[in-house]
Amino acid sequence: MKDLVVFGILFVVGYFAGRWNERRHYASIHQREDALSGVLVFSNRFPPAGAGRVGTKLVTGSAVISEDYFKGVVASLQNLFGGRIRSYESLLDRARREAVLRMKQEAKDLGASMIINVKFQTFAIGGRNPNAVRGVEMLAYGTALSAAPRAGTALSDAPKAGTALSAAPKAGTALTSRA
Amino acid sequence: MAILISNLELVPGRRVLKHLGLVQGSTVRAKHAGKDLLASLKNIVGGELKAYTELLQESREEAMARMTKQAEAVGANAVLNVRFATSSITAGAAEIFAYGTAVVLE
Amino acid sequence: MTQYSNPRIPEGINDSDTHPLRSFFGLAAAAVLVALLATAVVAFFGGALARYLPYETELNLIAPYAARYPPGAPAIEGYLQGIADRLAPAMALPEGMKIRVHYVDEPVVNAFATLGGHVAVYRGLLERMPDENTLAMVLAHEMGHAAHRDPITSLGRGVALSAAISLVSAGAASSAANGVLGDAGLLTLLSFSRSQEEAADEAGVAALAKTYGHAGGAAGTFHILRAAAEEKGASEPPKFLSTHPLTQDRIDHLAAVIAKGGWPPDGARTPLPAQMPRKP
Repeated sequence: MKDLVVFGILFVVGYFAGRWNERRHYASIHQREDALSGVLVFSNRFPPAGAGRVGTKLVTGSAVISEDYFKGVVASLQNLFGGRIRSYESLLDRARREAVLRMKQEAKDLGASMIINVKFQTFAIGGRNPNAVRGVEMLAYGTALSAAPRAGTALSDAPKAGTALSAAPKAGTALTSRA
Repeated sequence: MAILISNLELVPGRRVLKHLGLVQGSTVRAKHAGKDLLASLKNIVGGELKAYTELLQESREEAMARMTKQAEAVGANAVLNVRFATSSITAGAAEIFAYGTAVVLE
Repeated sequence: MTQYSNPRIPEGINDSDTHPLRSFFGLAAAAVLVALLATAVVAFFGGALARYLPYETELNLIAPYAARYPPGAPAIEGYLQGIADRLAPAMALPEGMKIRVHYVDEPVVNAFATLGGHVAVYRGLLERMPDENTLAMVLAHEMGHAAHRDPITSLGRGVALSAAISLVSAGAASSAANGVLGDAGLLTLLSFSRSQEEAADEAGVAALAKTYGHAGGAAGTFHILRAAAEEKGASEPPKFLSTHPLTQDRIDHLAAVIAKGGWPPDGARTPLPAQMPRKP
């Protein structure tokens, strides 16, 4: 019985606090997305044709977003029946957008207006341990292009992570068309 | 209108008119507990975990469908440079994330 | 020149969780349904199979516990055992089963039957007995449980359930599902089912009437139990919370059984011997 009471309290607190947190986070995401709309992001590997000599700099952004108790309970119930675990979708969405926003902020601070070759990577802080703290861990990284090269951001400074402008397209890439 | 999805940088013979930025699709899916149990039994004898192969397939399709929906919403007719990533929240669920650049091709 | 821009992407494409509470209640209802169904199936098979365990196994199971309660108060225990022995021929006891009555010197108003034909009566209940007929009904009821092998059924159900629960929790379930399943499991372990209680009442009243020639004192215990509960200030729990049929239901049921059996509802009561403990 005591377990049930503890469960009930965590559940209710998780629901209301989780909803409140999520709403606040989304409000902040929307506000910053507007503020940073001047920085464009692409997954293209090459800068715009005719961009000429531009400054490049690796920019990164990362975020770890935790589930709340309510989402955890709904997810484990959904896990029993299978199908889409809707309660975690917003976590993925928030983690990714937060990571992109932090990356954009870094680019903006460098005076860049475009980030190319954006890639995403995830950490697994808790590993595969089912008892670990549960959350979505997202890292976004890309190359910020600034129109006016500044000291320390010249081409030669381009980091290793696949952001070199000379990177040739890989062999064996498939072309699929979807309806 | 069918949206072209490719992990190429450029589509041969077609010029890119507009680059419309990153579009993303993500999903978290799981199989029901019965299939999880069967999969753990399969761990004893080895072989393909068909249920999980199917789960990954479904998740990938859903993620791509959502990415395509975003591309349609911004008025693109193709998504180039598509990549996949996975994240980790919970065991037994597939969390797939597809992203690429939405473009308008000639 | 190619254009570069980042048009705003509409919300809700990657987040379809618009009604989290609704999806929770749907899932919870389905999970509870599945859990109840599984519990019922497991409990049924556990109980049904345990019934077929030989009586010797039951004796072996209880032996270490029975040794812990050495016979005390031989006068009282002897008297109680005498009543049980007189009732026994009127009851369809399984072959080889011997009823052993124990007296527990504690103020609890209770009596119970457990594995191996052991029946225990507490001082608290004995003190309140008005006559031997009422006491015989208590013993006959508990012997009814033993005759129907309810204790081993209950144990089998419990063992099957806890095995199933540990299997589930070792498998996929979260701590949440665990907590809920654990509590549901305990509730069914608390005591015998209502139908088992009613069956024990029926067997008990039949043995009482055959032994004493009338069914007088059959309902007396229920009035005593009710008075004891009121004394403690506890009102009866709502029907759906209790696995025991409510007192009034059982009194009514007994009256119906007596009428159906054609036994005289009352007659000359046998007084209790003087050495019985009395309420101070």
